[in-house]
Amino acid sequence: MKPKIKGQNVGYIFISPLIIYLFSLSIYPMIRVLYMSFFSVQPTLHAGEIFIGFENYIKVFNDPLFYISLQNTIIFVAGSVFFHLLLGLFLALLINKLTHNLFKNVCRTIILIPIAITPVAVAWMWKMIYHPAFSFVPLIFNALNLDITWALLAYPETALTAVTITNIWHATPYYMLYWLAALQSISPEIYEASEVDGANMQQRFRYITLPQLKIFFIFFACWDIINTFMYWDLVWVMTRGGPGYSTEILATYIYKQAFQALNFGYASALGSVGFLVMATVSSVLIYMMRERG
Amino acid sequence: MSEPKKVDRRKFIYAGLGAVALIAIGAAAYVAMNPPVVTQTVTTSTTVPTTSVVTTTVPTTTVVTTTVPTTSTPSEKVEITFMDWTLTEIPFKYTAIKMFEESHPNIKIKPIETPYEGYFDKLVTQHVAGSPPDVFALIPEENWKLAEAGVQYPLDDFIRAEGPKFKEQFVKAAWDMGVWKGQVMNLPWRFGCSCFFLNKKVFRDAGVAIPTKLESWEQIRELAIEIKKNSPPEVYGIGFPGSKTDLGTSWFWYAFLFQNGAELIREDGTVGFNTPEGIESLQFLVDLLRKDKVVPPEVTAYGDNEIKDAFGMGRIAMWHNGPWMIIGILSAHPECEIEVRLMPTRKRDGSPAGGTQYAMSPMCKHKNEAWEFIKFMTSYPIISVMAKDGIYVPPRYDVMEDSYFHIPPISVFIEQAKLPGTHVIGNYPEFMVISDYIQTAQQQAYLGQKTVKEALAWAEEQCNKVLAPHYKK
Amino acid sequence: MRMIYKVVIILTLIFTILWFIPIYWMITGTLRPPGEMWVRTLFPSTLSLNTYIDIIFGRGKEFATFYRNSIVISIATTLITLVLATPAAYGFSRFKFKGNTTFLLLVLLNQMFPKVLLSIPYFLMISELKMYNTLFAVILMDVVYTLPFALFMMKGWFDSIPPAIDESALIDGCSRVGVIFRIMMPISKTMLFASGATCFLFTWNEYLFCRTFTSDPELRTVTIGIGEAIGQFYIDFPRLMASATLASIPVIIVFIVIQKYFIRGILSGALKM
Repeated sequence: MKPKIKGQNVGYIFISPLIIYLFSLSIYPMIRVLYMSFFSVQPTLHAGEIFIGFENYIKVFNDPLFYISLQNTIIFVAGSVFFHLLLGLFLALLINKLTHNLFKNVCRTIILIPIAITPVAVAWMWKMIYHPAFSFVPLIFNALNLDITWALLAYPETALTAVTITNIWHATPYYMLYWLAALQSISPEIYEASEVDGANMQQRFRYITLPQLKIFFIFFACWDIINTFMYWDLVWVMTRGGPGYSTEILATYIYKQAFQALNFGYASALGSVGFLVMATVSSVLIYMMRERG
Repeated sequence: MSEPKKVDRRKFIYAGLGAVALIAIGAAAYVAMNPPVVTQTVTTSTTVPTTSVVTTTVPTTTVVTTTVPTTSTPSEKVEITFMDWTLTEIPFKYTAIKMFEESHPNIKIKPIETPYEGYFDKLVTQHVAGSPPDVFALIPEENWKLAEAGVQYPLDDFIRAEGPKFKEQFVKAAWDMGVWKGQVMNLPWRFGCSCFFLNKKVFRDAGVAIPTKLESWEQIRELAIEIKKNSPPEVYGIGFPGSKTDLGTSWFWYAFLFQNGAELIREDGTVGFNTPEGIESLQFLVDLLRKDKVVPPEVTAYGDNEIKDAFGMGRIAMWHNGPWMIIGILSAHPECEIEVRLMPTRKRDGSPAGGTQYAMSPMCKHKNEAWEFIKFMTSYPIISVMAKDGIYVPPRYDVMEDSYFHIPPISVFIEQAKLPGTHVIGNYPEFMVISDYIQTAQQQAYLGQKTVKEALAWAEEQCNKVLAPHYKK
Repeated sequence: MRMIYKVVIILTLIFTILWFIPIYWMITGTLRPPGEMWVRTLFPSTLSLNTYIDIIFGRGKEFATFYRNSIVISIATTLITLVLATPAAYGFSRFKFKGNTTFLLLVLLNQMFPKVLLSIPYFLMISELKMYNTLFAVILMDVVYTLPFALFMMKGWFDSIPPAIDESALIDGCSRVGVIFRIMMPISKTMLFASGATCFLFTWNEYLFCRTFTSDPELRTVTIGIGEAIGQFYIDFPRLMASATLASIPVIIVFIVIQKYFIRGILSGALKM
């Protein structure tokens, strides 16, 4: 069957409800944020919006705190995404392998519990887990006669890692869920055929599972990067960017500029630069996705 | 041939899909736009936490009857929206609202409950979008910012209409919480300053006598060392927060800053903590932490909330904070025995103070009625109930006369509040921004990354840069 | 083969326990008598339901309101999202029209801005539409954030279904829309439930929009109820943890119920036809 151009354009009809809904609600706010980045919004929020062109952006690129927060954000995102995807896949594969249904269901449900808890509660819970006086961890260390100080959020060296670990704990079950669903998309007949052909587990994984998962992998990576990049709740509650600026990520810096300094112009500029970074990364990933699809 | 049929079927089914979506949206909208009628179950007696406090007796229910003259012929109903995060904490406020509505039949108050987390973001968002609440609560740390941004409406005209005696009813320091560039922007309803909390049990277990008065910094240091020596390893003599999660980190230091004669921000808009006195005051804390080691070492992991729990659990012998913490400590640790002491003095007395206020929005359409409400909520009968229930310093002199406030621990706070060295902190421009710098400097000093001198010099430079535009002539 | 299976079981157990430890700690914290929140023993000295009783009997009516609002918002958001996303995913997957990839990228644009910055223009929009202080406003904006995910999940899923299946149905006289309903949906149960569960969860835990777009006490959701435990000066920790636990129970029940839709057999059954 020759694909007629007219036939392909039918696709527009299918995608239009979603596109119309999404764009009608999100275009104006995004443009407004971009628009505000070219102004110096004085503290009197209604009066005194002075057009200053690219001055905010020049300020951004000269701001040492911008670079610090960008660096912290990249570490936070890279650490989170890496473990979300790989650990999530690993857990999904493990769970998939199990045949005892009760055990499988119980484990799967238990691992999924963290995502049911609201981020604010997760942040406070982990804040206490990292705390020297209130956590059960020092007790374990004492029992094992280890003399390690356990105050991960107190020291600039460990604070960012600690927050990243919390994010990993909180969101990896999501990715286990997604991978479980993605794994279902692989036809079992190909597995059976390869088993007949004598392939062992590693070979099956490498030559059958992996290629089919590549698209999902790219999408999940893209999605996770975009969502974690501006993820504010966890870090804000746990450390507010401290100690010092060791956990100051772009999201907390933008928040401080917007709502503490009431510097909406500058905050918008920061947000726009962050947006550009992410847009670049995701375009690359999506075009990679297209080639494989 | 089958083409036209396909197109028709497709259009029909697409219409069906659209209808399903519309129905789903419509159903949700129906449910959403017809919320059940709001019926507030108002209790006419306040519920006071049942605390087993050894050194003070908290009175039980206090039902207040007011004889507020009703206004003249009620005109059309006016609705005032009122946003306050303490509506859930203080159920008495609903009683107060009901009392107000009874005495002002033409005014209806619509309360908006919003948790404290993100309260000011929501306020700013609403203001920018043009629909802020008519009356709202705020703290002095936000006063300058909100006044400058035009979120608050000056109350000077209303106050002038009340006569010259109106201002004198309020404690001066509390009144000053709402002053911005000479204008009064809000009225205080909650006030308090910091005094020392001593954990009787820890003192007892360490065999150290509780002093009747805290004379000097040296005495505090010696007490802390003595307690640490005679206590199990996880108990410390004194505790203070060091994390950025709230303003407690700098609040703790400010007491010593003021006591040493230094200022936070001078009249000309430069910061006053980078003086020898200021450096000495921070050095005192850093020495307690790093030299004498009488403070829980992981200081930057502690915020006010964690210190409060550590104190309640008996891990810390001494701490200072405001009277509002008493209920906080006792509700989580009912068996804690607290003794309150006045602040020590050095070059002079000093204590940070803060509180909560009510303000009005410039976009309020019924400013007179809003003023009546603010006046009512900061009047004698209301404040006297709330200050007793919440255990804080009433911002009114007439309420302070009440015998309840002559009993410790609240009497100690009141005595401290009357001293000249008690400063309200927070009513400065860009307060949250400079607090961030100050807390960063404190953390650097606590962690030993910089000396106190270096840290404060850096903070001074950053803060002055931020403050300068606000003090330009 | 047996050996490998044993390893799988052990590893699963290890990770399950690792993930569960903080939860266990949180739950036992709420079951301790008042004042003993931070006593660090494995089991509470006495099991005390005090915290829960305070919440359920002290503010039970409020919690019922919270649940109701959260359920309405989450279900409505999930339904609307799936209804909009599934045909769109099919369209993106099956048709190579101009701008296919571009539109996909554009859909992701909104997620790249910080929500806190966008909250002000959203609020402006909602006020203009006179929808302030309704659950509908929350639903409307929540869908904006769940749509991209559902779209990509369903598209990835449809991509993995060979177009041969569509073709054979079309040749048999089925229309495109019919293909979606009669062929795709029945075998997409797993993916639909994964996307739907995520949308549900995301809106259930959402705090910013619920707080910003509503002001009536009657419209508060479960996340706001949890946030109320955080006071100006201190936190009522047992209440925070207990509210969070109570808030997550319905979600966990939903998980347990939809477990059966994750059975593999559905797909192989469909393909063998």
